[in-house]
Formats: sequence, C-alpha cells, structure tokens
Amino acid sequence: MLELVNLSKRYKQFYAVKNMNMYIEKGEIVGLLGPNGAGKSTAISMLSTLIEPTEGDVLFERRSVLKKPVSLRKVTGVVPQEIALYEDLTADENLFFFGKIYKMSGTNLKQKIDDILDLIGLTDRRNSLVKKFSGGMKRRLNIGVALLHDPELLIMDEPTVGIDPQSRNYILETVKKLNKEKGMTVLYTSHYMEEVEFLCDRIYIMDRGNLIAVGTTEEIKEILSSENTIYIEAELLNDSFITALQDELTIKKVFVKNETVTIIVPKEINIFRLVTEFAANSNVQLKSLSVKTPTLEDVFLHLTGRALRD
Amino acid sequence: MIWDIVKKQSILFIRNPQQLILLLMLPIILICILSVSLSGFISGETFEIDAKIAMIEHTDEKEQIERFIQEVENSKLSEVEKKEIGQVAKNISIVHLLKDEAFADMDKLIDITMVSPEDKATVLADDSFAAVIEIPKDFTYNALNFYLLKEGNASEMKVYQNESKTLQSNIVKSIIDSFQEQMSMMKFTMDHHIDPVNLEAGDLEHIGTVEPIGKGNPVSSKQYYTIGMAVMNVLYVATAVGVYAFIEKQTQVFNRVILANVSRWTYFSGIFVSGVSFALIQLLIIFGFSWIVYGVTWPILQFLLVTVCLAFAVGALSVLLTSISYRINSESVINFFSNFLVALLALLGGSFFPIGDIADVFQLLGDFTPNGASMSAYLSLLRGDEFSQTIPYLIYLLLFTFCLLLVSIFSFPKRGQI
Repeated sequence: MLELVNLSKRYKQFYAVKNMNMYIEKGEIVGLLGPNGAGKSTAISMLSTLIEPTEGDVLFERRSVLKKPVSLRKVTGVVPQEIALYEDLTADENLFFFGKIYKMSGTNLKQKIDDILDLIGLTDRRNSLVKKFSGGMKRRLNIGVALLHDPELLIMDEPTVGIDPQSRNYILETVKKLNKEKGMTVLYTSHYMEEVEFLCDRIYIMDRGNLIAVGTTEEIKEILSSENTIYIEAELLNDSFITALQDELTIKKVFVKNETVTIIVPKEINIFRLVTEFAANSNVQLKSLSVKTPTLEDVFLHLTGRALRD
Repeated sequence: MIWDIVKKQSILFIRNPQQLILLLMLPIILICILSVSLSGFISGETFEIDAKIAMIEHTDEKEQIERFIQEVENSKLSEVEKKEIGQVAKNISIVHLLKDEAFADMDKLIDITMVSPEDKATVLADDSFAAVIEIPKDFTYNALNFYLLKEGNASEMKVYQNESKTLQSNIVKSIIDSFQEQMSMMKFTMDHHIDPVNLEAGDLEHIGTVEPIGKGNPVSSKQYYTIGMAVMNVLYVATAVGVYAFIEKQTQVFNRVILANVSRWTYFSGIFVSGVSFALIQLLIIFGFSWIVYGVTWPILQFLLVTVCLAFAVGALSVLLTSISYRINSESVINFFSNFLVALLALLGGSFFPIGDIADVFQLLGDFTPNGASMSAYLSLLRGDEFSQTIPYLIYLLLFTFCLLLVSIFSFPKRGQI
C-alpha cells in the first residue's frame, strides 16, 4: 500500500531521517518506535506528504506521491502529536469545520459527525468548547477529526502523550476496533513500547534518524534470544562495583538507573557468582538479582545503549 | 471553502471578548477622549473655553469723550484742528472698541458682564469670573489727551486673573495685550502722520495674500478623530487575523487543512476575505457609532468606496503578516507590527493630529501609508471636495493591496519549508 524508499531529510548537515526504507501493507497496524528526537515525526510528515524529503521517494500503490500527493491525502487521516483543534470551538463545530474542508456537507456530514462522536465517546460533550475538555478528551477528538473522511490509512503520531491511563486504553481499543472492524491500516508512532506491543503487527525501531530494527514483536525480541537481561537491585551502589561490571568481558552491556543496574550477558554465561563477588569486593549490598523476559524496551536498550524514554 | 474559513474565523473572533473590546471599544473610547481633549489641533472647531469676565468702568466713556471734545472746542487750536480732532475723538471709544470689537469674535466663548465700581470686591471674590478688567477713572479722556493732544499720560487697564482658570484668564489677558499693542500702533501712526490703513495694506502686500487653508467645509475634531482612530485601529484587525493564522500553524491545524487537499491559495484567500470582512465590519461599527453619537455623516456611496478600499488593504496586510510569520516560523513580526508599526503608521497617517501641517514631506509620507491615504480620502469627502480628488487615494489603496498580495504569495513558504 505505502512504501518509503531510501527516504532522507537533511537540515543543513543534520539528518533528521536517513535512508529510511519501510512498507505498510493494507490492513496491518505498523508501529514506529523510538525515543523523542528519533526522527519519527519527520518520517511521518514526509510519508503523509506534508514535507518533501531531501532524498528518496514515497510510493502509494506503487506510484510516487511526492509531486502529486492528492491520491494519498484522500485516503489518509493524520493524527498529529499536537492537539490540532480550535480550542474556542465546540467539538461539534470542530468536526463540522474539518468535515467542510474535506468537502463533506449536509446530512452526510451530520451523520458522520454523530458517528465519530459516538466512536470517540464524546456525544454528550459535543456542544462543549474544546478548551474545557480534559487532555484525554482532546486527544480523542484529535483522532476523531482524522477519521471524518473515512481514511483507509490512519497515521497516528504519539496519540497518547500526556493523558490518563483510562483515556489511553480507550484510544488503544478504538484503534484496534478500527483496524478489525473497518480494516483500517494504521501507522502508530509511540515511545511507549507497551502500546506498540499491544497494537502492532510489525514494528520499526528508529533512533537518531536511522531504522535500527524491523520485524514483528517476536522477531524483534529474538534479537535478544541469545542473551539474558539481568536486573540487579542494590544498596550503597558505588563506582567501583559499576567499573568491575563494565570491565568484565563476558558482560555485553551495563546500564545504571537509580539503584538498579541492568546487564546483558550471553545466555550460556552464569554471571551470578561474578556479580556477588564484585558486590562483596565493593561493599555493595545486593537486594535482588533477576533474569527477565526481554521486552522491546530491552531490545532498544540493547541496540542503542539508551532507554526509550531517556 | 473560503466561506467556511471566514465563518470559523468569525466564531473565533466572537468568542474572544478581549479581542472584541480591543478592536471595537478601544477606538470608540479613543474617539470620545481625543475629540474633546485635542480639539485645539483641528481647524474648523473652536475651544470650548466658556469664560466669564467682568468689566468695571469707573467713568462713563461717552461723558469722557464729550468732555474732551468740549475742552478742545474751548482751546486755542485752529478751527480746522478742532474739527479734525473732534471727529477722530468720536471714533476712538476705547472701551467700546475693546468690548464690542476685540472680543467680538469670541462672543460665543466669552461672556462679558459690566459691573459697577462698588461691586468690584464682590466680583473679585467670585470664582466664576475668569478675569476682571478694571478701566480706571477718566481712562478714555486721558487716552484722547495723550494720543491726540500729546498731553499727560495714558492710563492703563488692570486685569485681575483668576488663577484657578488659567487657560481662560490667559486668553483674556492676551486679547487685552494685543488690543493695547494696537493702540500703541495707532499712536505711532498718528505721531508720524502715517495713515494706519496704508501701513496695514503695505504689510499685507509684503507677506502676500492670506486665504483660508480649506475652502470646503471645516472638519470638526469629532469628525477628525472618528477617521483617525478608525483608520488606525482597523490595522489591528490585520494583526488579529495574523495571530489566529499563526496559531493554526503552531497547532498543526494548517497541516490538517493542507492534508484535506485544500490548496494554500484557498487558505490564503480565506485569510484575505476574513481580513477584509472584519475590517469592513469594524469600520462600519465605528463610523456608525460616530454617526449616531456625534452626527458625523458622509456622502454614502463615496464613503463606502473608501471604506471597501481600506478594508482591502487591511485584508492584504493580514495575508502578508500571515505569510511572513509562516516563513520565519515566529509570531514576532506580528507583534512588531502591532506594538510598533501601527503606532508609527498612525502618527504618519495623521491619526493623532494633522501631521501634514508640520511639513509637506510628512503629508506625502502619510499618504503612502494605507491609513494615511484613506484618512486623506475620508477628510476630502467630509470637506465636500470633488470626488475626483479622492480617486488617487483609492487607486493607491488598491495598488497597495495588490503589491502586498504579490509579496505575500512569493514569501509564503513552499511545501517542505513549513
């Protein structure tokens, strides 16, 4: 359905996105995962034809849409990261205005507005000004506007940023529903790996403008199949303990956050004896040692050396 | 589509009371304040000083003149001289000249009350009098002796000024000073046997002819400031529309519009039509207020033409501000326009006072501003000038609109630069 070919966006000497290759099949939910500043929004802006790439191409149904974006725009709904709504208009007025710009009118538009309000759970607040909405309600309406013209492809740029868990669940369930019931194709961008794990069939992981991993959730987790992620909780954590871990050749990576140290080691290595020995030598009191099933967060940590939400 | 953009902008305007007060109430308040407080700047309207003065005459002037003529008759002068002096003396009724001639032009502003010498203390204590003029005993008699016979000294009038009515009392004082200067001049001409008429004629010939500046209807301060404030404040419509447009960019609403396959030129047109419509509505409300409250009326068709041309210019300004703010990705240009340029344009355009009266170059500069050009056009209509005199201003406003739209089109960022 949609394909990005060697897509790059350069601002002077800085590449916001570099040589990005990606495809989205009809009816699937594809996740684009990466920390803030990874280049996700730039990639989305290019594939939704809002900005022109420096290099590469965007193909929709195997045709380039860089010069003639109308065909792609017609079937695409974009949910921007910002609340792209008029705060001084009601939910109804916002939907009416955006419906009008999609050249909808009359009973068709009215019916569509009713349906959307029902879908996003805002029917009873349709006549309230958006500025009086909670963050979650605004996010839902932000999505609703993108659904007005029945898009085939829904591009969502971090649609759950800064909202309560209840609204987040509502949004995730809505996206699932749209995909299952209407066969809507979704490109879902987030830095919340649990959202991407929950929703997506395939995942692209981005960091610093580059795609660093591609595949299904299971395939990506396979990256860590030959390694164990071990969490060490300790008291009186000190530099000599950390240095000892870092100097140990069998330990592939060491990350420290508060009083927890995460290490990645090959599965065949029994590291527990060494860790307890380092702790004793450095006067560190170990509270717990645990091996956990790798998550996408661990994969990202493994690939970039940074946490997703750093 | 354009209509939907304008409709949406209108709702946003209406739901922003602060903006509405700024765009509608502020100019109306300014018209009320400035038309009263700065009325002195404007020709065709007098100060409303409403001064009350008292005049105390110790000796009846008619009796003094008769006494002087009688004494001349009894003197040793030749019959010709007696006749001549007697004739002149009859015409020099100084108090009469002061009261009925010097203050004649100000009879609507200055109320003169003749008071007997016994009531002097009472009027001096009365705070309602701006000044008290005391004409001493035998004032005219002494003056005639001094001027015509060169005998004795002329007495002086006394002016008691009320310090609590500085403006009015100073005006009275200056009238009296001027009157006394004229009397001295008369003495000089008589001493040198110069006909005062010739002296005056010579002076006039020297400085050229004096004509009133405008031959049409005088423009009152209320009319002037109605125009001045309207053409200044209408510029804020452009900033308001520009700010809303920039917010649309910041919140990515503009992106939504573009993604809906609406061309940016349609969006542009929506901004332009919004600017024109809101400017038109604002101007009509302000002029409507002035018509109802101050009775400022216009030749309707010409007035509407000027108003529409000005509204076009404001619409173009709205688009330009939007375009530049989109290009530089900052609201600063709109703030700069609103906080500094509007005031400068208003000053040059003559919104605060007729700056063109200071120097022609200011008038010229003013006419190159949209507000100044429309102000000149409105003033021309109010003065009752031929409509052909207004046409150059209208052409300028339309050219200004066209040029601004052209610049906006070229400065609006292309896809990928937004």
